[in-house]
Amino acid sequence: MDEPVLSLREVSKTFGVLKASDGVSLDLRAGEIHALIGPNGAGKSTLIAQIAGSLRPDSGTIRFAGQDVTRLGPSARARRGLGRSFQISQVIAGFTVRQNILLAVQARAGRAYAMLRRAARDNDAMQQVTEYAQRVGLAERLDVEASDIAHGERRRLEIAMALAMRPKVFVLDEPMAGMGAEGVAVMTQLLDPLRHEAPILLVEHDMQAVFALADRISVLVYGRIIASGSVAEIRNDPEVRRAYLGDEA
Amino acid sequence: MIAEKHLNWLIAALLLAVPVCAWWFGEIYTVTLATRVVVLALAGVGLNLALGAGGLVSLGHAAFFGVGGYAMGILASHGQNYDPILTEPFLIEGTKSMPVIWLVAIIAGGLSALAIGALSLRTSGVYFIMITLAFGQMFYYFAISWPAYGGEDGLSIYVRNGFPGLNTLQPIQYFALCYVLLIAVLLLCARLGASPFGLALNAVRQSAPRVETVGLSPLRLRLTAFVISGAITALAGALFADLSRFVSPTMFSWHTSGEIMIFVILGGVGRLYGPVIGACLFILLEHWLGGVSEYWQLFLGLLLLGVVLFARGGVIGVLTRKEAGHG
Repeated sequence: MDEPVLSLREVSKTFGVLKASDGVSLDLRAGEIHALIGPNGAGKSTLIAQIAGSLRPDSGTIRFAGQDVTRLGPSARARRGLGRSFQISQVIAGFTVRQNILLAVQARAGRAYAMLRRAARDNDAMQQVTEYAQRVGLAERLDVEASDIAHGERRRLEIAMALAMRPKVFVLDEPMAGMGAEGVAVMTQLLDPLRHEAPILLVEHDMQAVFALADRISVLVYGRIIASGSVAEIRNDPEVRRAYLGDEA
Repeated sequence: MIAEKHLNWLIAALLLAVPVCAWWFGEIYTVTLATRVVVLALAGVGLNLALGAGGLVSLGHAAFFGVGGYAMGILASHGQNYDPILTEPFLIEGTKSMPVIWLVAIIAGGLSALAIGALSLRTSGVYFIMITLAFGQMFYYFAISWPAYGGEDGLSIYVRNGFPGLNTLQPIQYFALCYVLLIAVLLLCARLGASPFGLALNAVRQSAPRVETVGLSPLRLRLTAFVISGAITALAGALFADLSRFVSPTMFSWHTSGEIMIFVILGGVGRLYGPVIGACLFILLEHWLGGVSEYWQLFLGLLLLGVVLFARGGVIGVLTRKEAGHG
Protein backbone atom coordinates (compact mmCIF):
# COMPACT_ATOMS: atom_id res chain seq x y z
CA MET A 1 0.00 0.00 0.00
CA ASP A 2 1.09 3.60 -0.61
CA GLU A 3 2.51 5.67 2.17
CA PRO A 4 -0.36 7.19 4.18
CA VAL A 5 -0.96 10.89 3.48
CA LEU A 6 -0.87 11.63 7.19
CA SER A 7 0.70 9.43 9.79
CA LEU A 8 1.30 9.80 13.51
CA ARG A 9 3.81 7.62 15.31
CA GLU A 10 3.88 7.34 19.08
CA VAL A 11 2.74 10.90 19.59
CA SER A 12 2.66 11.87 23.26
CA LYS A 13 1.75 15.06 25.04
CA THR A 14 1.56 15.55 28.77
CA PHE A 15 0.07 18.46 30.71
CA GLY A 16 1.34 18.14 34.25
CA VAL A 17 0.23 14.67 35.31
CA LEU A 18 -2.40 14.41 32.58
CA LYS A 19 -1.40 12.31 29.60
CA ALA A 20 -3.47 14.00 26.92
CA SER A 21 -1.87 11.96 24.15
CA ASP A 22 -0.28 8.69 25.15
CA GLY A 23 1.69 7.11 22.31
CA VAL A 24 -0.88 7.71 19.60
CA SER A 25 -0.22 6.12 16.20
CA LEU A 26 -2.69 6.85 13.46
CA ASP A 27 -2.76 6.72 9.64
CA LEU A 28 -4.88 8.52 7.13
CA ARG A 29 -4.80 6.93 3.68
CA ALA A 30 -5.79 8.32 0.33
CA GLY A 31 -9.51 8.24 -0.39
CA GLU A 32 -10.74 7.43 3.11
CA ILE A 33 -12.66 9.04 5.87
CA HIS A 34 -11.04 8.09 9.13
CA ALA A 35 -13.19 8.97 12.11
CA LEU A 36 -11.69 9.67 15.50
CA ILE A 37 -14.18 9.18 18.29
CA GLY A 38 -13.97 9.11 22.03
CA PRO A 39 -15.64 10.48 25.16
CA ASN A 40 -15.19 14.05 26.31
CA GLY A 41 -11.76 14.65 27.70
CA ALA A 42 -10.26 11.76 25.75
CA GLY A 43 -7.70 14.11 24.19
CA LYS A 44 -9.22 14.51 20.74
CA SER A 45 -8.77 18.27 20.64
CA THR A 46 -5.21 18.00 21.90
CA LEU A 47 -4.47 15.50 19.17
CA ILE A 48 -6.01 17.71 16.49
CA ALA A 49 -3.97 20.66 17.76
CA GLN A 50 -0.80 18.59 17.37
CA ILE A 51 -1.78 17.47 13.88
CA ALA A 52 -2.57 21.04 12.83
CA GLY A 53 0.64 22.31 14.40
CA SER A 54 -0.66 24.69 17.05
CA LEU A 55 0.65 22.34 19.75
CA ARG A 56 3.99 20.54 19.65
CA PRO A 57 4.11 16.91 20.84
CA ASP A 58 6.53 16.01 23.66
CA SER A 59 7.64 13.01 21.66
CA GLY A 60 6.74 11.07 18.54
CA THR A 61 6.60 12.12 14.91
CA ILE A 62 3.98 13.42 12.54
CA ARG A 63 4.52 12.81 8.84
CA PHE A 64 2.44 14.58 6.25
CA ALA A 65 2.65 14.27 2.46
CA GLY A 66 5.95 12.42 2.68
CA GLN A 67 7.64 14.88 5.04
CA ASP A 68 8.29 15.04 8.74
CA VAL A 69 6.25 18.06 9.85
CA THR A 70 6.54 17.54 13.61
CA ARG A 71 8.38 20.82 14.08
CA LEU A 72 6.39 22.96 11.67
CA GLY A 73 3.87 25.58 12.78
CA PRO A 74 0.23 25.73 11.70
CA SER A 75 0.63 28.09 8.76
CA ALA A 76 3.51 26.05 7.31
CA ARG A 77 1.41 22.89 7.55
CA ALA A 78 -1.54 24.63 5.97
CA ARG A 79 0.68 25.67 3.06
CA ARG A 80 1.71 22.04 2.62
CA GLY A 81 -1.94 21.13 2.20
CA LEU A 82 -3.51 20.61 5.59
CA GLY A 83 -7.04 22.01 5.53
CA ARG A 84 -8.82 22.13 8.85
CA SER A 85 -11.98 23.26 10.52
CA PHE A 86 -12.35 24.14 14.17
CA GLN A 87 -14.52 22.75 16.90
CA ILE A 88 -15.77 26.26 17.54
CA SER A 89 -16.25 27.96 14.18
CA GLN A 90 -13.34 30.21 13.36
CA VAL A 91 -14.54 32.32 10.50
CA ILE A 92 -13.83 36.04 10.27
CA ALA A 93 -17.02 37.38 11.83
CA GLY A 94 -16.73 40.89 10.41
CA PHE A 95 -16.23 39.63 6.86
CA THR A 96 -18.90 38.63 4.41
CA VAL A 97 -19.08 35.02 3.28
CA ARG A 98 -17.42 36.16 0.05
CA GLN A 99 -14.52 37.84 1.85
CA ASN A 100 -13.96 34.79 4.01
CA ILE A 101 -13.63 32.46 1.05
CA LEU A 102 -11.66 35.07 -0.89
CA LEU A 103 -9.13 35.19 1.94
CA ALA A 104 -8.48 31.48 1.51
CA VAL A 105 -8.44 31.62 -2.30
CA GLN A 106 -5.95 34.49 -2.37
CA ALA A 107 -3.75 32.94 0.28
CA ARG A 108 -3.65 29.69 -1.66
CA ALA A 109 -2.83 31.59 -4.88
CA GLY A 110 0.10 33.25 -3.10
CA ARG A 111 -1.40 36.70 -3.58
CA ALA A 112 -1.93 37.62 0.05
CA TYR A 113 0.85 40.21 -0.09
CA ALA A 114 -0.40 41.95 -3.22
CA MET A 115 -0.90 45.53 -2.07
CA LEU A 116 -1.84 47.56 -5.09
CA ARG A 117 -4.37 45.42 -6.87
CA ARG A 118 -7.95 45.41 -5.73
CA ALA A 119 -8.99 42.20 -4.03
CA ALA A 120 -12.54 42.50 -5.33
CA ARG A 121 -11.42 42.93 -8.94
CA ASP A 122 -9.57 39.63 -9.09
CA ASN A 123 -12.01 37.93 -11.45
CA ASP A 124 -10.32 34.57 -11.40
CA ALA A 125 -10.39 34.50 -7.59
CA MET A 126 -13.99 35.74 -7.51
CA GLN A 127 -15.04 32.95 -9.82
CA GLN A 128 -13.42 30.40 -7.55
CA VAL A 129 -15.16 31.95 -4.55
CA THR A 130 -18.52 31.47 -6.24
CA GLU A 131 -17.65 27.87 -7.09
CA TYR A 132 -16.71 26.95 -3.53
CA ALA A 133 -19.75 28.75 -2.16
CA GLN A 134 -21.95 26.77 -4.52
CA ARG A 135 -20.41 23.51 -3.45
CA VAL A 136 -21.34 24.10 0.17
CA GLY A 137 -24.70 25.65 -0.65
CA LEU A 138 -23.85 29.23 0.29
CA ALA A 139 -24.07 30.82 -3.16
CA GLU A 140 -27.10 32.85 -2.09
CA ARG A 141 -25.39 34.09 1.04
CA LEU A 142 -22.19 35.52 -0.41
CA ASP A 143 -22.82 39.09 0.67
CA VAL A 144 -24.05 38.36 4.18
CA GLU A 145 -21.67 38.97 7.06
CA ALA A 146 -20.41 35.79 8.65
CA SER A 147 -21.68 36.95 12.04
CA ASP A 148 -25.21 37.04 10.60
CA ILE A 149 -25.41 33.59 9.05
CA ALA A 150 -26.83 30.53 10.80
CA HIS A 151 -24.64 28.19 12.80
CA GLY A 152 -24.88 25.42 10.23
CA GLU A 153 -23.99 27.83 7.46
CA ARG A 154 -20.94 28.98 9.35
CA ARG A 155 -19.83 25.34 9.59
CA ARG A 156 -20.23 24.98 5.85
CA LEU A 157 -18.36 28.22 5.29
CA GLU A 158 -15.45 26.68 7.15
CA ILE A 159 -15.60 23.69 4.81
CA ALA A 160 -15.65 26.06 1.81
CA MET A 161 -12.54 27.80 3.15
CA ALA A 162 -10.82 24.45 3.62
CA LEU A 163 -11.84 23.47 0.07
CA ALA A 164 -10.43 26.70 -1.30
CA MET A 165 -7.04 25.60 0.01
CA ARG A 166 -7.21 22.57 -2.28
CA PRO A 167 -5.75 20.57 0.60
CA LYS A 168 -4.14 17.14 0.61
CA VAL A 169 -6.04 16.23 3.77
CA PHE A 170 -9.01 17.60 5.64
CA VAL A 171 -8.87 17.63 9.42
CA LEU A 172 -12.37 18.40 10.61
CA ASP A 173 -13.00 18.93 14.30
CA GLU A 174 -16.65 18.19 15.06
CA PRO A 175 -18.13 19.75 11.92
CA MET A 176 -21.61 18.73 13.04
CA ALA A 177 -21.41 19.99 16.62
CA GLY A 178 -24.49 21.89 17.67
CA MET A 179 -26.47 21.02 14.55
CA GLY A 180 -29.98 19.65 14.28
CA ALA A 181 -30.81 16.43 12.45
CA GLU A 182 -31.33 18.28 9.20
CA GLY A 183 -28.03 20.10 9.45
CA VAL A 184 -26.25 16.83 10.16
CA ALA A 185 -27.84 15.28 7.06
CA VAL A 186 -26.74 18.20 4.87
CA MET A 187 -23.21 18.08 6.24
CA THR A 188 -23.03 14.29 5.82
CA GLN A 189 -24.00 14.67 2.18
CA LEU A 190 -21.42 17.38 1.73
CA LEU A 191 -18.57 15.42 3.30
CA ASP A 192 -19.30 12.07 1.70
CA PRO A 193 -17.85 12.77 -1.77
CA LEU A 194 -15.01 14.93 -0.37
CA ARG A 195 -12.94 11.87 0.50
CA HIS A 196 -12.17 11.39 -3.19
CA GLU A 197 -10.65 14.85 -3.30
CA ALA A 198 -8.60 14.43 -0.15
CA PRO A 199 -8.87 12.01 2.75
CA ILE A 200 -10.65 13.25 5.85
CA LEU A 201 -9.72 12.87 9.48
CA LEU A 202 -13.05 13.40 11.13
CA VAL A 203 -13.53 14.05 14.82
CA GLU A 204 -17.21 13.74 15.53
CA HIS A 205 -19.65 13.00 18.33
CA ASP A 206 -22.65 12.25 16.18
CA MET A 207 -22.43 8.46 15.92
CA GLN A 208 -24.97 8.13 13.17
CA ALA A 209 -22.99 10.47 10.99
CA VAL A 210 -19.76 8.66 11.86
CA PHE A 211 -21.19 5.26 11.03
CA ALA A 212 -22.63 6.62 7.78
CA LEU A 213 -19.39 8.26 6.63
CA ALA A 214 -16.38 6.50 8.06
CA ASP A 215 -14.27 3.92 6.27
CA ARG A 216 -12.32 3.36 9.44
CA ILE A 217 -12.79 4.41 13.03
CA SER A 218 -10.26 4.87 15.79
CA VAL A 219 -11.39 5.16 19.38
CA LEU A 220 -9.47 7.45 21.70
CA VAL A 221 -9.85 7.01 25.46
CA TYR A 222 -7.61 8.73 28.02
CA GLY A 223 -5.17 9.72 25.30
CA ARG A 224 -4.75 6.17 23.97
CA ILE A 225 -6.18 4.55 20.88
CA ILE A 226 -7.98 1.54 22.33
CA ALA A 227 -9.34 0.24 19.04
CA SER A 228 -9.08 0.90 15.35
CA GLY A 229 -10.95 -0.80 12.54
CA SER A 230 -13.91 -0.81 10.19
CA VAL A 231 -17.32 0.42 11.27
CA ALA A 232 -18.54 -3.13 11.90
CA GLU A 233 -15.45 -4.06 13.91
CA ILE A 234 -15.75 -1.02 16.13
CA ARG A 235 -19.47 -1.46 16.67
CA ASN A 236 -18.91 -4.99 17.87
CA ASP A 237 -15.76 -4.42 19.88
CA PRO A 238 -16.67 -5.19 23.50
CA GLU A 239 -14.04 -2.87 24.93
CA VAL A 240 -15.29 0.05 22.86
CA ARG A 241 -18.88 -0.63 23.85
CA ARG A 242 -17.90 -0.59 27.48
CA ALA A 243 -15.68 2.46 27.33
CA TYR A 244 -17.67 4.62 25.07
CA LEU A 245 -20.60 3.52 22.97
CA GLY A 246 -22.65 2.03 25.78
CA ASP A 247 -25.87 0.55 24.48
CA GLU A 248 -26.32 3.31 21.95
CA ALA A 249 -24.93 1.22 19.12
CA MET B 1 -25.67 61.92 8.36
CA ILE B 2 -23.09 61.75 5.67
CA ALA B 3 -21.41 58.90 3.82
CA GLU B 4 -17.82 58.38 4.88
CA LYS B 5 -16.57 58.81 1.32
CA HIS B 6 -18.19 62.25 1.00
CA LEU B 7 -16.97 63.25 4.43
CA ASN B 8 -13.44 62.35 3.36
CA TRP B 9 -13.70 64.53 0.28
CA LEU B 10 -15.02 67.37 2.43
CA ILE B 11 -12.15 67.09 4.89
CA ALA B 12 -9.59 67.01 2.08
CA ALA B 13 -11.20 70.03 0.40
CA LEU B 14 -11.39 72.09 3.60
CA LEU B 15 -7.84 71.23 4.50
CA LEU B 16 -6.79 72.69 1.17
CA ALA B 17 -9.21 75.63 1.02
CA VAL B 18 -8.53 77.10 4.46
CA PRO B 19 -4.79 77.67 4.06
CA VAL B 20 -5.16 78.84 0.46
CA CYS B 21 -7.68 81.46 1.58
CA ALA B 22 -5.50 82.39 4.54
CA TRP B 23 -2.56 82.85 2.21
CA TRP B 24 -4.71 85.01 -0.06
CA PHE B 25 -5.48 87.29 2.87
CA GLY B 26 -1.90 87.25 4.05
CA GLU B 27 -2.51 85.14 7.17
CA ILE B 28 0.79 83.32 6.96
CA TYR B 29 0.54 81.95 10.48
CA THR B 30 -2.59 80.02 9.55
CA VAL B 31 -0.76 78.48 6.60
CA THR B 32 1.98 77.27 8.91
CA LEU B 33 -0.61 75.93 11.32
CA ALA B 34 -2.30 74.03 8.48
CA THR B 35 1.05 72.60 7.40
CA ARG B 36 1.52 71.38 10.93
CA VAL B 37 -1.88 69.69 10.79
CA VAL B 38 -1.04 68.01 7.49
CA VAL B 39 2.32 66.74 8.68
CA LEU B 40 1.00 65.45 12.01
CA ALA B 41 -1.95 63.87 10.21
CA LEU B 42 0.53 62.00 8.03
CA ALA B 43 2.23 60.65 11.15
CA GLY B 44 -1.19 59.53 12.37
CA VAL B 45 -1.97 57.90 9.02
CA GLY B 46 1.16 55.85 9.53
CA LEU B 47 0.12 54.75 13.02
CA ASN B 48 -3.45 54.12 11.84
CA LEU B 49 -2.19 51.43 9.49
CA ALA B 50 -0.74 49.50 12.42
CA LEU B 51 -3.39 50.42 14.97
CA GLY B 52 -6.53 50.51 12.86
CA ALA B 53 -5.96 47.89 10.21
CA GLY B 54 -3.59 45.67 12.13
CA GLY B 55 -4.90 46.14 15.65
CA LEU B 56 -1.36 46.84 16.88
CA VAL B 57 -1.42 49.34 19.73
CA SER B 58 2.02 50.84 19.31
CA LEU B 59 3.06 53.43 21.87
CA GLY B 60 6.43 53.77 20.23
CA HIS B 61 5.71 55.49 16.96
CA ALA B 62 7.70 58.48 18.11
CA ALA B 63 10.72 56.30 17.34
CA PHE B 64 9.87 56.40 13.63
CA PHE B 65 8.82 60.04 13.73
CA GLY B 66 12.17 60.87 15.30
CA VAL B 67 14.11 58.66 12.91
CA GLY B 68 12.57 60.61 10.04
CA GLY B 69 13.38 63.88 11.77
CA TYR B 70 16.97 62.93 12.42
CA ALA B 71 17.37 61.57 8.89
CA MET B 72 16.56 65.09 7.75
CA GLY B 73 18.63 66.73 10.48
CA ILE B 74 21.75 64.69 9.87
CA LEU B 75 21.65 64.89 6.09
CA ALA B 76 20.85 68.61 6.05
CA SER B 77 23.37 69.60 8.73
CA HIS B 78 26.13 67.91 6.78
CA GLY B 79 24.70 69.37 3.60
CA GLN B 80 24.71 72.94 4.86
CA ASN B 81 28.26 72.63 6.22
CA TYR B 82 29.61 70.86 3.12
CA ASP B 83 30.95 68.26 5.48
CA PRO B 84 30.62 64.65 4.27
CA ILE B 85 28.93 62.19 6.64
CA LEU B 86 31.38 59.45 5.79
CA THR B 87 34.64 59.44 3.86
CA GLU B 88 35.81 55.91 4.61
CA PRO B 89 35.28 53.33 3.13
CA PHE B 90 33.23 55.33 0.66
CA LEU B 91 32.05 58.88 0.44
CA ILE B 92 28.57 59.77 1.72
CA GLU B 93 27.72 63.43 1.51
CA GLY B 94 24.94 65.36 3.19
CA THR B 95 22.15 66.80 1.11
CA LYS B 96 19.65 69.61 1.11
CA SER B 97 17.38 67.91 -1.39
CA MET B 98 13.98 66.94 -0.01
CA PRO B 99 13.31 63.94 -2.27
CA VAL B 100 16.59 62.34 -1.20
CA ILE B 101 15.92 63.12 2.46
CA TRP B 102 12.41 61.66 2.21
CA LEU B 103 13.73 58.50 0.64
CA VAL B 104 16.34 58.10 3.37
CA ALA B 105 13.72 58.81 6.05
CA ILE B 106 11.35 56.23 4.59
CA ILE B 107 14.04 53.57 4.39
CA ALA B 108 15.43 54.34 7.86
CA GLY B 109 11.91 54.35 9.33
CA GLY B 110 11.07 51.07 7.63
CA LEU B 111 14.26 49.41 8.83
CA SER B 112 13.72 50.63 12.41
CA ALA B 113 10.17 49.29 12.27
CA LEU B 114 11.48 45.99 10.94
CA ALA B 115 13.88 45.65 13.88
CA ILE B 116 11.44 46.85 16.54
CA GLY B 117 8.56 44.88 15.03
CA ALA B 118 10.52 41.65 14.72
CA LEU B 119 11.22 41.79 18.44
CA SER B 120 7.98 43.18 19.78
CA LEU B 121 5.34 41.55 17.56
CA ARG B 122 5.95 38.26 19.32
CA THR B 123 4.10 39.76 22.24
CA SER B 124 0.58 41.14 22.29
CA GLY B 125 -1.74 43.28 24.36
CA VAL B 126 -0.22 45.23 27.22
CA TYR B 127 3.20 43.68 26.62
CA PHE B 128 3.24 44.97 23.07
CA ILE B 129 2.33 48.47 24.27
CA MET B 130 5.09 48.36 26.88
CA ILE B 131 7.77 46.99 24.59
CA THR B 132 7.08 49.55 21.86
CA LEU B 133 7.12 52.26 24.50
CA ALA B 134 10.46 50.97 25.74
CA PHE B 135 11.95 51.02 22.25
CA GLY B 136 10.74 54.58 21.78
CA GLN B 137 12.45 55.63 25.00
CA MET B 138 15.65 53.86 23.94
CA PHE B 139 15.75 55.99 20.80
CA TYR B 140 15.00 59.07 22.90
CA TYR B 141 17.90 58.54 25.28
CA PHE B 142 20.16 57.60 22.44
CA ALA B 143 19.43 60.92 20.72
CA ILE B 144 20.03 62.83 23.96
CA SER B 145 23.41 61.23 24.45
CA TRP B 146 24.66 61.73 20.90
CA PRO B 147 26.68 64.98 21.06
CA ALA B 148 27.68 64.89 17.39
CA TYR B 149 24.11 65.81 16.49
CA GLY B 150 23.29 68.27 19.19
CA GLY B 151 22.49 65.91 22.05
CA GLU B 152 19.78 67.36 24.23
CA ASP B 153 19.81 70.69 22.36
CA GLY B 154 18.95 69.19 19.00
CA LEU B 155 19.98 70.42 15.61
CA SER B 156 19.06 73.61 13.81
CA ILE B 157 18.88 73.78 10.05
CA TYR B 158 19.21 77.35 8.81
CA VAL B 159 17.49 77.11 5.47
CA ARG B 160 14.62 74.80 4.61
CA ASN B 161 15.63 72.00 2.28
CA GLY B 162 14.91 72.35 -1.40
CA PHE B 163 12.52 70.69 -3.79
CA PRO B 164 13.15 70.94 -7.54
CA GLY B 165 11.07 73.73 -9.06
CA LEU B 166 9.64 75.03 -5.77
CA ASN B 167 10.58 77.71 -3.33
CA THR B 168 10.00 75.74 -0.15
CA LEU B 169 10.62 78.77 2.03
CA GLN B 170 7.30 80.14 0.83
CA PRO B 171 4.88 78.75 3.44
CA ILE B 172 2.12 78.09 0.91
CA GLN B 173 4.47 76.17 -1.36
CA TYR B 174 5.73 74.02 1.46
CA PHE B 175 2.14 73.47 2.54
CA ALA B 176 1.22 72.33 -0.98
CA LEU B 177 4.10 69.90 -1.02
CA CYS B 178 3.08 68.36 2.31
CA TYR B 179 -0.57 68.30 1.30
CA VAL B 180 0.17 66.43 -1.92
CA LEU B 181 2.22 63.89 0.02
CA LEU B 182 -0.55 63.39 2.56
CA ILE B 183 -3.18 62.85 -0.14
CA ALA B 184 -0.87 60.50 -2.03
CA VAL B 185 -0.28 58.41 1.09
CA LEU B 186 -4.01 58.39 1.87
CA LEU B 187 -4.76 57.13 -1.64
CA LEU B 188 -2.10 54.49 -1.20
CA CYS B 189 -3.62 53.44 2.13
CA ALA B 190 -7.10 53.26 0.60
CA ARG B 191 -5.69 51.05 -2.12
CA LEU B 192 -3.89 48.94 0.43
CA GLY B 193 -7.08 48.52 2.43
CA ALA B 194 -8.92 47.15 -0.60
CA SER B 195 -6.08 44.86 -1.66
CA PRO B 196 -5.60 41.18 -0.83
CA PHE B 197 -3.00 42.28 1.72
CA GLY B 198 -5.55 44.60 3.32
CA LEU B 199 -8.02 41.74 3.50
CA ALA B 200 -5.48 39.43 5.11
CA LEU B 201 -4.37 42.09 7.60
CA ASN B 202 -7.95 42.80 8.54
CA ALA B 203 -8.47 39.07 9.03
CA VAL B 204 -5.44 38.79 11.31
CA ARG B 205 -6.85 41.49 13.55
CA GLN B 206 -10.05 39.52 13.92
CA SER B 207 -8.82 35.94 14.14
CA ALA B 208 -5.18 34.98 13.91
CA PRO B 209 -5.85 31.20 14.16
CA ARG B 210 -8.13 31.37 11.13
CA VAL B 211 -5.46 33.15 9.13
CA GLU B 212 -2.91 30.50 10.06
CA THR B 213 -5.31 27.86 8.80
CA VAL B 214 -5.30 29.29 5.31
CA GLY B 215 -1.51 29.12 5.36
CA LEU B 216 -0.58 32.71 6.18
CA SER B 217 1.72 33.75 8.98
CA PRO B 218 0.10 36.36 11.25
CA LEU B 219 3.53 37.52 12.40
CA ARG B 220 4.70 38.21 8.85
CA LEU B 221 1.52 40.04 7.92
CA ARG B 222 1.72 42.20 11.05
CA LEU B 223 5.39 42.87 10.55
CA THR B 224 4.80 43.98 6.96
CA ALA B 225 2.09 46.37 8.09
CA PHE B 226 4.29 47.63 10.92
CA VAL B 227 7.15 48.38 8.51
CA ILE B 228 4.92 50.34 6.13
CA SER B 229 3.42 52.12 9.12
CA GLY B 230 6.85 53.07 10.46
CA ALA B 231 8.02 54.26 7.06
CA ILE B 232 5.02 56.60 6.68
CA THR B 233 5.47 58.03 10.17
CA ALA B 234 9.18 58.55 9.45
CA LEU B 235 8.31 60.50 6.29
CA ALA B 236 6.07 62.69 8.45
CA GLY B 237 8.98 63.14 10.86
CA ALA B 238 11.21 64.43 8.06
CA LEU B 239 8.52 66.89 6.95
CA PHE B 240 7.92 68.01 10.53
CA ALA B 241 11.62 68.68 11.03
CA ASP B 242 11.71 70.68 7.81
CA LEU B 243 8.69 72.70 8.90
CA SER B 244 10.38 73.96 12.05
CA ARG B 245 13.91 73.60 10.62
CA PHE B 246 14.81 72.04 13.90
CA VAL B 247 15.26 68.51 15.21
CA SER B 248 15.43 67.56 18.84
CA PRO B 249 15.12 64.45 20.99
CA THR B 250 11.56 65.58 21.87
CA MET B 251 10.49 64.05 18.59
CA PHE B 252 11.38 60.68 20.10
CA SER B 253 9.63 61.20 23.44
CA TRP B 254 6.72 59.04 24.55
CA HIS B 255 4.74 62.25 24.67
CA THR B 256 4.98 62.39 20.88
CA SER B 257 3.86 58.76 20.60
CA GLY B 258 0.88 59.61 22.76
CA GLU B 259 -0.04 62.62 20.64
CA ILE B 260 0.08 60.61 17.43
CA MET B 261 -2.17 58.05 19.05
CA ILE B 262 -4.56 60.78 20.19
CA PHE B 263 -4.96 61.94 16.57
CA VAL B 264 -6.00 58.46 15.57
CA ILE B 265 -8.37 57.88 18.48
CA LEU B 266 -10.00 61.33 18.24
CA GLY B 267 -10.66 60.95 14.54
CA GLY B 268 -11.61 57.31 14.58
CA VAL B 269 -9.42 54.22 14.72
CA GLY B 270 -9.24 52.44 11.40
CA ARG B 271 -10.91 55.28 9.49
CA LEU B 272 -8.92 56.41 6.51
CA TYR B 273 -9.34 60.12 7.34
CA GLY B 274 -9.52 59.59 11.11
CA PRO B 275 -5.98 60.85 11.82
CA VAL B 276 -6.54 63.85 9.54
CA ILE B 277 -9.56 65.11 11.42
CA GLY B 278 -7.92 64.09 14.70
CA ALA B 279 -4.83 66.18 13.97
CA CYS B 280 -7.04 69.12 12.90
CA LEU B 281 -8.94 69.01 16.18
CA PHE B 282 -5.79 68.63 18.22
CA ILE B 283 -4.04 71.60 16.63
CA LEU B 284 -7.16 73.77 16.78
CA LEU B 285 -7.65 72.98 20.45
CA GLU B 286 -4.00 73.60 21.16
CA HIS B 287 -4.24 76.91 19.31
CA TRP B 288 -7.52 78.21 20.74
CA LEU B 289 -7.55 76.77 24.22
CA GLY B 290 -3.80 77.18 24.50
CA GLY B 291 -4.42 80.94 24.18
CA VAL B 292 -7.07 80.86 26.90
CA SER B 293 -5.42 78.64 29.44
CA GLU B 294 -2.08 77.06 30.08
CA TYR B 295 -3.95 73.94 31.09
CA TRP B 296 -5.63 73.40 27.74
CA GLN B 297 -4.67 69.74 27.81
CA LEU B 298 -7.19 69.28 30.59
CA PHE B 299 -9.90 69.98 28.00
CA LEU B 300 -8.18 67.74 25.50
CA GLY B 301 -8.26 65.01 28.14
CA LEU B 302 -11.97 65.51 28.73
CA LEU B 303 -12.65 65.39 24.99
CA LEU B 304 -10.62 62.22 24.65
CA LEU B 305 -12.48 60.68 27.56
CA GLY B 306 -15.76 61.54 25.89
CA VAL B 307 -14.68 59.96 22.62
CA VAL B 308 -13.46 56.78 24.26
CA LEU B 309 -16.57 56.44 26.43
CA PHE B 310 -19.32 57.55 24.08
CA ALA B 311 -18.03 57.58 20.52
CA ARG B 312 -15.78 54.63 19.86
CA GLY B 313 -15.74 55.39 16.15
CA GLY B 314 -14.22 58.82 16.88
CA VAL B 315 -15.36 62.00 15.16
CA ILE B 316 -15.76 60.21 11.83
CA GLY B 317 -17.81 57.55 13.56
CA VAL B 318 -20.13 60.20 15.01
CA LEU B 319 -20.53 62.01 11.69
CA THR B 320 -21.20 58.83 9.71
CA ARG B 321 -23.07 57.02 12.51
CA LYS B 322 -21.02 53.91 12.08
CA GLU B 323 -19.43 52.31 15.11
CA ALA B 324 -16.49 50.25 14.00
CA GLY B 325 -13.99 51.20 11.37
CA HIS B 326 -12.08 48.89 9.14
CA GLY B 327 -8.67 49.63 7.80
